[in-house]
Amino acid sequence: MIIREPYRLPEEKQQELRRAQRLEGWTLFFLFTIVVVIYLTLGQSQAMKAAWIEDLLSLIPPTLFLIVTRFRGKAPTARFPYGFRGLGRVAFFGASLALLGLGAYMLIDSAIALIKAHHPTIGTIELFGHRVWLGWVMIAALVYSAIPPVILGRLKMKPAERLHEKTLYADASMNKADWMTAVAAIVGILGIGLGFWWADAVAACLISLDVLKDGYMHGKNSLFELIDQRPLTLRTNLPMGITDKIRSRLRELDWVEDADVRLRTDGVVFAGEAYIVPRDTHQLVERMQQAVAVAEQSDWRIYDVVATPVASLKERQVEE
Amino acid sequence: MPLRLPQIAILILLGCCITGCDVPRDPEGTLQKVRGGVLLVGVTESPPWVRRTPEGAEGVEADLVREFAEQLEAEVQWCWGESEGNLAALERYQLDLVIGNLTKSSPWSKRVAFSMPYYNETLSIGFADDEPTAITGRRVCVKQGSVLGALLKEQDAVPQGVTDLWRCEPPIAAGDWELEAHGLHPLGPPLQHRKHVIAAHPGENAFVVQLSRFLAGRQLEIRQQLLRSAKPPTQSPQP
Repeated sequence: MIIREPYRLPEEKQQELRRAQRLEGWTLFFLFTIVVVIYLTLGQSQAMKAAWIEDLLSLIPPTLFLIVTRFRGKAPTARFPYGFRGLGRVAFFGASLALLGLGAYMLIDSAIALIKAHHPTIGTIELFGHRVWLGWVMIAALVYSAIPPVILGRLKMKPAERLHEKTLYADASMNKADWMTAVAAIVGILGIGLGFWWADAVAACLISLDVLKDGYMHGKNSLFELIDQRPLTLRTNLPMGITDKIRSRLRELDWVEDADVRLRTDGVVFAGEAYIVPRDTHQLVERMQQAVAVAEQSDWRIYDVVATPVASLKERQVEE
Repeated sequence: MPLRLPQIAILILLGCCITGCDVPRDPEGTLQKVRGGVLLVGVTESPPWVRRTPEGAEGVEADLVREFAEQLEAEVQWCWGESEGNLAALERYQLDLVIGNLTKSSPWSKRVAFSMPYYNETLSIGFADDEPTAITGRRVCVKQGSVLGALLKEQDAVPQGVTDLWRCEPPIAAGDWELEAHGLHPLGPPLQHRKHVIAAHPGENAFVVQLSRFLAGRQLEIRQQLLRSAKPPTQSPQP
């Protein structure tokens, strides 16, 4: 059985990856403190409950990232000749299903609370010898919950782009938008304070929709990668031009009559096949190896390219 | 996004300041209705917390309610009934308060609003001085029909149910104030904690906050009242 070589990240990218892992570690730490703080001030607020569940769920992407980046670089074995790079795609698809499932549950739960016209009771708590309305404490907890994710989200954007990590990018975007959840919940609680009992349930519904949106985004990204999508830019989802680059470099080779490539994404890396029409079969083996080297040196993200000599490209090509 | 984070934060703070003086409010305006008006109180007899007398209601909770009504310049109307019926009426805004030995662990806590606990009662086994404190296989006196009987069995003691605690010998399992009245010392891990509350409308947060602020800091005063009510019938007359 021929197994793949393990993928080697360039040195400066390795440093970037380590930085990303550190940031995700910090994210886990702060998210955990936020989960505890909000749990302690939950009370009867639907919006707080929704914010809490969303914060719990947002522990999943950083955890997955840390686990996946640890194991996907493992050397391929006879049992897994293509290696373990696929783990990340499956893990994130699973996580997105969890987000979708729980988002739907939260939405139904909040909608039922709204329909049943449940009036949430928010009483008092003893703080430094004073009886304070619990709503103020809840708002303080929510303000805290907005700050670390926004800061960490911004910090994670750069490594995500430099490493071309779609999942890290999605996680950073979700963190950056966390302040909207906190604002929704705060408005909900202030609404209760002003006598609008429904404000809380409405805020909870909005937060649930946000969770559903996150689940959908992660799900779409990971599903498309699972079905071998072509390389796309991180933010704008446009073709990256790597196929063009490889194709033109191959065509520049003097022994090549015509050439074309096919690439797919695999998390950070791209793998694929190159189809070459050689002018003649002289020194074919060495030339094919040269073609593979040319392809793999085109970009740091190219991992595994197999070159095949063919008689003609006509039947296989499509317009891009 | 149309607004940036610092602007949102300022808006929220402004919102808090503007509305802070009057927050929280009642969706159904209970506090305003009761002030200078009538306070409808659902009552269930449960001595020493509430006792029915020809004049109305007496006991720890009844006295608290009367004082609270005084603070609101409201007239108290006692509506005697059983606990479940009263709480259901409270849930549907037919009553303003419900009293009658309600505790925080009641399943009604999700359906009505419970005040902060006005008294935290610790129930344990009380011993006389110079008594051995092992209870395995030992007979412990307890009020007939009390859940403490089951808790005693879990600790391998032998519960002896009586109708009047004054008629049995220590050790006795009862509330902290009852043990003190009997001159016994509670020893060993507590059997149960009961946080006594008063029930109000669900969601009427201004009213609940007013009630909780009224009830705060009365643990000692209530304990004294309970001690007085626990004196045996043959002793000094009621104050």
